Amino acid sequence: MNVTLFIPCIVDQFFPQVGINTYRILKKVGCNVDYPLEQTCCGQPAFNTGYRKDAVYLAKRFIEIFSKYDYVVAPSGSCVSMVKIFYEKLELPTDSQKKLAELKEKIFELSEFLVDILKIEDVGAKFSGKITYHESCHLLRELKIAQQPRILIKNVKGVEYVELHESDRCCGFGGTFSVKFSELSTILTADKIKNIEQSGAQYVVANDSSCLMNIDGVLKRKGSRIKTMHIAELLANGI
Amino acid sequence: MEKELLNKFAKELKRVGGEFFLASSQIEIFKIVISILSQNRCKTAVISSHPFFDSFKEMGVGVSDKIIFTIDQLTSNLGVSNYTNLLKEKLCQCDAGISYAEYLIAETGSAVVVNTQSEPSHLSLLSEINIIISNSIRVVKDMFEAVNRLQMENLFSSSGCITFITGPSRTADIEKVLITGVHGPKKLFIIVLEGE
Amino acid sequence: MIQESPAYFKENIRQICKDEILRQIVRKATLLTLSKRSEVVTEYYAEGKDWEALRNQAHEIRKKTIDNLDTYLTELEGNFKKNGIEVKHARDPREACDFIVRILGEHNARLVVKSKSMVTEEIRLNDKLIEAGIEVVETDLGEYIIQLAGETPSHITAPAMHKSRDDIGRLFSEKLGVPFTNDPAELTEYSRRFLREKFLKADAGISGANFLVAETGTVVIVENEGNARLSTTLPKLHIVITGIEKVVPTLEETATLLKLLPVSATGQKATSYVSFINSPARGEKDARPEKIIVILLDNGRREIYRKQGVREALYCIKCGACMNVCPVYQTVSGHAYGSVYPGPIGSILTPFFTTLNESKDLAYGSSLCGACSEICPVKIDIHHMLLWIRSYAVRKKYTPFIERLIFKLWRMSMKNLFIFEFGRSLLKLIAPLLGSQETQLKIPIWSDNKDFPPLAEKSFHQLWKEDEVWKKNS
Repeated sequence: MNVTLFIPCIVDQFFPQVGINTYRILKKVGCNVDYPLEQTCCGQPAFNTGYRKDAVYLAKRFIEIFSKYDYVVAPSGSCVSMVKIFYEKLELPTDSQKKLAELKEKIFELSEFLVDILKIEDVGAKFSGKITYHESCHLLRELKIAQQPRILIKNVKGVEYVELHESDRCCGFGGTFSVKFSELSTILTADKIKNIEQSGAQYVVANDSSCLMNIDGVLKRKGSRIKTMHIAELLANGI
Repeated sequence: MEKELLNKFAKELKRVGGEFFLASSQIEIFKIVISILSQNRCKTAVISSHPFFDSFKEMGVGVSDKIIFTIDQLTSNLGVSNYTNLLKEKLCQCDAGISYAEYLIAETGSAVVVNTQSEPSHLSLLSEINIIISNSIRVVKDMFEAVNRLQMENLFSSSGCITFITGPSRTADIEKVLITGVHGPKKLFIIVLEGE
Repeated sequence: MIQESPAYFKENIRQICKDEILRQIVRKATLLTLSKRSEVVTEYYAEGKDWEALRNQAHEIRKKTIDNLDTYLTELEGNFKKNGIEVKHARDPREACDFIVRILGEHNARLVVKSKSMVTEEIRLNDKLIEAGIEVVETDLGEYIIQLAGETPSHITAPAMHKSRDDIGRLFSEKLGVPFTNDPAELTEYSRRFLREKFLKADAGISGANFLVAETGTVVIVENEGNARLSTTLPKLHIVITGIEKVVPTLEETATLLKLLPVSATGQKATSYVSFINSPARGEKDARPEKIIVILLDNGRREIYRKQGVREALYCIKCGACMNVCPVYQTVSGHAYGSVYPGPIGSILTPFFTTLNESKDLAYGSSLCGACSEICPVKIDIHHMLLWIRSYAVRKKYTPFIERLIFKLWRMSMKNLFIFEFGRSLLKLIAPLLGSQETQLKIPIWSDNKDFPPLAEKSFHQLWKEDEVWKKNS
């Protein structure tokens, strides 16, 4: 199966290992993996802040680059939501709209692709540790992905899985929200961390690097020993 | 089916803090009413003039018990001018109000009271004790059925105001603590007559 | 001091973030309401009923109604008149208040009892009545507390949610002269006694409406306390003031909405009282009001109607669930918004009830988590509409110049790979100047409260281009 990687900016610039691990997982399960070098951002930061005209330029570009492939997979619920859900709200030219309609059917978030398309519930990973799972808002409420990551995590050999209280409550990131409303955002993240601490987990896993970066930022400032981990990093362990 | 609906109604009514009684005859209803009134130390009660209660007069309502008054008795010496104001004041002084419900809604434990001149809305509102009486055949499944029946019987156009009553008056405005009787009845009793 | 204007949203939030006691009260209250709600929803499914299907049905009802608003309003008005209920339209708060003051004057009304109505908050009716020398008493317990405290509601269904029992105890002893108690039952008993007297003396009752049924000309009022029933049946004059969007075509459709509303608002299957008011008193011995007047308020609602991007906001049945579930609302509570309608739905309505320029920050005060849209009983796409409001503010050029410039530059860099890569190199170059270290990048504001990760040695992009080793090894 031919799979094309869509690597979100934040992964590209700050967490390239998440991209590498996504690649390794997809190779392991037998996919041919490609990465179009001309890709940049999907336009979400502009769209979320209200700059729709600016987002249109990038959406057109993104659609042009990715619509020719069989499957597009990204290690992010948020960036896939942008393409699948939010592009429709932009004033795109008819040509882009047509291509978007097709692209929407073949772009997937990593865990969704593994479980729903490839029907793989165990990628053969091994990891020893107590893990809890935070649900990224876009992944859960835009893409309605809730069970797939849990299935994959629970099937990693050696993992002790615990549910997170209020796992579906926002971590307080919200893009520019975290800067525009910094104190508020920090309180929301502190609420999240309290729940993580009470779960007794050593690691908190999520499918979006943005949420993890936010949670990790407060954990590090606190000097906490709890570690954040992208699901791709967990699933690539020991394969 | 009727039994099932009635059980559901009783369960839901209890859940919202109401008390449920089943009676097999008008006389039994009368006895239950008297015992509720005496248990709650009610000195006066006012009863609606709905035809359902016609037989109550024969049982001595407003004559021998000296507790329950009909609206007519309550207002017999009120002149036409200022009638409604005096009526409201009189009703306020009563310890209990006794109303008739056209329908009972099983799904929510609600009573549907169609307010008219003989069944003023205030009967189920001003006193601390409210007793509502109806028939078991008047129990309907849910709000849809209640609304449909009310419409079929043209009650929306014939009554100035219809009230769905679900439990006693309540509030949770202070730290979400549930308190009953904030403005209306503190206690609600519903007596259902089996059959017609 | 919390400012009563959405323009102070950010400042208000900064202050409230320091008030841990307030945050705890509101968090506890909202979570309690949510857990009651989910109990009832779970029970629905256990009984074989489909809550989601009910929501979809309600959404369709609201969509049909709002899309054909004028048709249903015409039908409603006709049936109101048939029933002997007078109808008056008001374009804005001034028109509505002037009309109410005039009507009360014509009826020599000196004392008015009010049941809970957010629309009267919207038009600031109480201030206008007091100016006209009319005594006005709020009768919903929460509203009564708020009125005694000289505040505004902090939640649309639980106006005094932000007050502790001690706060209320002190308030009652100070304003009503009763001995201090923090027992909710005793405090409630005091209000019953004080307010009953007012009800009996009142010359007029003013209420809002939850629904207006077009096919029968019926005003529907949903409540728990009985104060709405008292306000609308004891005085001789009853004035209803509500928004034009409250119309519902039929009674059956009203029943659908009546099923969803109490569950979403308070976790009750049904509220204690639902009144269907069809007409004023019929005959001299009918103790109900002799006159009922319904005022239908526009105040920006038609503007919302004309904007396809936010039209759905008019579907709102004012249950307040989006506030209860919103992490931002739970944390900052209603007053922070500085608007009559707080929370997610309030952030959409307020720009149209006030001005966009003063209230644009509200839409940005959301992490876009979407919990609001998920819980909304009529399935309003709330968080997506917040995005629309943001774009509206950008279109109107209400956002800071520097932000607009940043997005222009950002767009250019993202479109052009050379600039994209160049930007990264530049960032690496200037990062140390901002005080960044190898372990973290210094980002203004963000870094006040949390760490930011360092830029990766090489981006994924560079790695893919240059480094083949990890690709072959896996």
